[in-house]
Amino acid sequence: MIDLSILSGPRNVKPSQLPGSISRGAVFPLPGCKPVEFLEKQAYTSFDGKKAAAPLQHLHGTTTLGFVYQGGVLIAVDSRSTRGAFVGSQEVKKIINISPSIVGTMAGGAADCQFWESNLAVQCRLMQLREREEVSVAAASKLLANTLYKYRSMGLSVGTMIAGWDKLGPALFYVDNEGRRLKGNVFSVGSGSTYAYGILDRGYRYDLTKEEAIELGRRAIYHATHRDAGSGGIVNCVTIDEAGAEWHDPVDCYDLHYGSPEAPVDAGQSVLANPAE
Amino acid sequence: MDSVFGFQGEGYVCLAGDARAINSIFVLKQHHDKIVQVSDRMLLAMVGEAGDTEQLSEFVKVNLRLLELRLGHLSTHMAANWLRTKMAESLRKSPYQVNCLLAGMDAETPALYHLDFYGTLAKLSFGAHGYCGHFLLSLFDKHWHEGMTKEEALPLVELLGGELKGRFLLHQDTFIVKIISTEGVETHEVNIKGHQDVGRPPVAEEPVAEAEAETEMSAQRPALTIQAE
Amino acid sequence: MSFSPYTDNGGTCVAIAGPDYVLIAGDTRMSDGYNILHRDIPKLSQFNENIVMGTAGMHADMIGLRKELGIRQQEYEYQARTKMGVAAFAQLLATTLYNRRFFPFYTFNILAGVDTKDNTCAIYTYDAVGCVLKAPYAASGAGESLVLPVLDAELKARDPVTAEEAKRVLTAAFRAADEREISTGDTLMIWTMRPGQEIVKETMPLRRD
Repeated sequence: MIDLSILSGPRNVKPSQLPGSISRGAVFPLPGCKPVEFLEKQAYTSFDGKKAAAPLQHLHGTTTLGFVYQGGVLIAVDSRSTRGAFVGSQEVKKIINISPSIVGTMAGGAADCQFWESNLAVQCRLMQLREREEVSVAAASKLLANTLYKYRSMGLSVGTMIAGWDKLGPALFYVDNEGRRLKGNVFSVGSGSTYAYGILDRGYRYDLTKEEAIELGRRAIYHATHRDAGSGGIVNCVTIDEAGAEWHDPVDCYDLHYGSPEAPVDAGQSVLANPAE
Repeated sequence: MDSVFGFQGEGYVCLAGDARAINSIFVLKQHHDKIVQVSDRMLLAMVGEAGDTEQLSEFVKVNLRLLELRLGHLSTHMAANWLRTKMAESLRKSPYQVNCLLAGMDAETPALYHLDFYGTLAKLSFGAHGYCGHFLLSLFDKHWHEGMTKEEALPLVELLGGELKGRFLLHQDTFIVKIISTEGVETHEVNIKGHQDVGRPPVAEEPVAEAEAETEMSAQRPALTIQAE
Repeated sequence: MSFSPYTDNGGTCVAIAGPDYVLIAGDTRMSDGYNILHRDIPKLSQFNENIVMGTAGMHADMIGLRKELGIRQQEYEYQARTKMGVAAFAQLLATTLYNRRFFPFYTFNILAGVDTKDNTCAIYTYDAVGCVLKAPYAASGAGESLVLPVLDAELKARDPVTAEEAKRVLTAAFRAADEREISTGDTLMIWTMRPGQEIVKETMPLRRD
């Protein structure tokens, strides 16, 4: 190892100089043309000129939902990530922690949501340190909406709900890549959201108990995964109330449908021929 | 697809907007206020690009306050022309794709301005933005009159809303109405109960079995309406 | 034909992690459509004894990305005065990719590493613009859709397998890509990483046609 002791002394590094820091990202290199047109062309053309599924970004054919009930706010999401018809992953974490009592959901471009919500978490932490106060859900969602508003017409794809508990109680906001920000009690976002809304609008009451709320959230996601091929995997669910965020056990959609877990295929035995034995 | 309209009366201006926030085929929110109070005596009703409306309303709110502090006073006329200039400036940079109606009270005098995002400003007695203009302007021409009292305001909104509910594809039936006068701002929610059912075929004199079933269904309708109320 | 700054040089990378090992493998063919340009271009890049990245996609962008990561890693190690851990590197890779959100690196990466803090083995998988997921096994590149089903059948919802078994699954999976995907072939590089040990680097012949 190189001896670095000569560098000892007070360090004075701005956060923006830290390599790969998530608070960077204010300056993006651009191609010599309009980014949206450029990416549209690149993303959907494969080398033989035929249309290919967007290879550049994982898109979420997604179902996410959130609602406010008497005890707090609930978020439930699926976990599938798709690239065209190919399932890129079945176990994506689509609920992102913003602060101890605020979470955000992912729908749209996976990288866009992940990056900007992590960036939001950084902004919230810095704001909390500056103001010596927990960031409110309204403020957090506004920070994100302002960030996304700056990048509107750049082709970002973000549809998120910012949910949490602050000194005013539970709160839920819808924020998207156009910079739109809406406060509400019931939202669902993603390709399966029409199906989820169907279940949600029938079953929703403000005075749901926590158990009923979790049941409703899971059920709405399950029904959406059943009808929408872009949604699936496992159902993740979190409730946030005065005591903070509580993560509930993830449930596989297979189990929700069949009532029992998937049986492993010949546990311990390779399904491939094993020449060595 | 949003509807926003407004008119001037005797000592007040009335603005109304449909209560929905929509995104493609979704109703994201059913009680969404499109009319923002931008100063003590001014209301701004907006339709347009989702993010732009919120950004614009906040920009207007703080800058009108600043202007008022700097100048000591601010008339609706000044505010409207200032906003027009800003819209025209931003048009060649990053346009706010928002059309607005600005309503204000200058002492006893009401004023209503119609402003589109290209920067065209017009002082009007009544106006509308969005598709609703196609349906409503003729009704304004017929039913609006000089010196409308405050009592006449909400019935007119109901009349206009009824036309939208019956003729506009989007079936808007809830409107958030704000009336600004010397007494300040009052907010109402207008729910359009029924609408004129023009062109419905008259009931056959000798109803056949199918028609009976239909009457049975329509007999149930009032019950449902009561439930919805 | 309009100009495009991108080309797809193909290739496949695979990684499998267990409790005390992580394997990462990639073929060495570089092609352009039906033309095979080179038979010995490694897709694996080592950043230190605990971090290896596998990159499929466009070779020129891989070189650019590797260079940028190397610089950032050095900056980090000078400033933090400690070797970069795999978790930090995983985040670095994600932000580096996302910083090119509007002119992306045409690279499809997986990252394998040993976390020296708790001696665990980790795999991270990425899309071209830096969405990162932690996974027990992963594949990327042209053969991804051929390789992943094999790995799913062999490894999903199973007890962890030994490194030897994992290597067998990995070579079987590569055989699938080798047989059925034109841009994958020539030689397979398999690197095995274990906590506190040197990386074991092996090669295995693949089809040369």
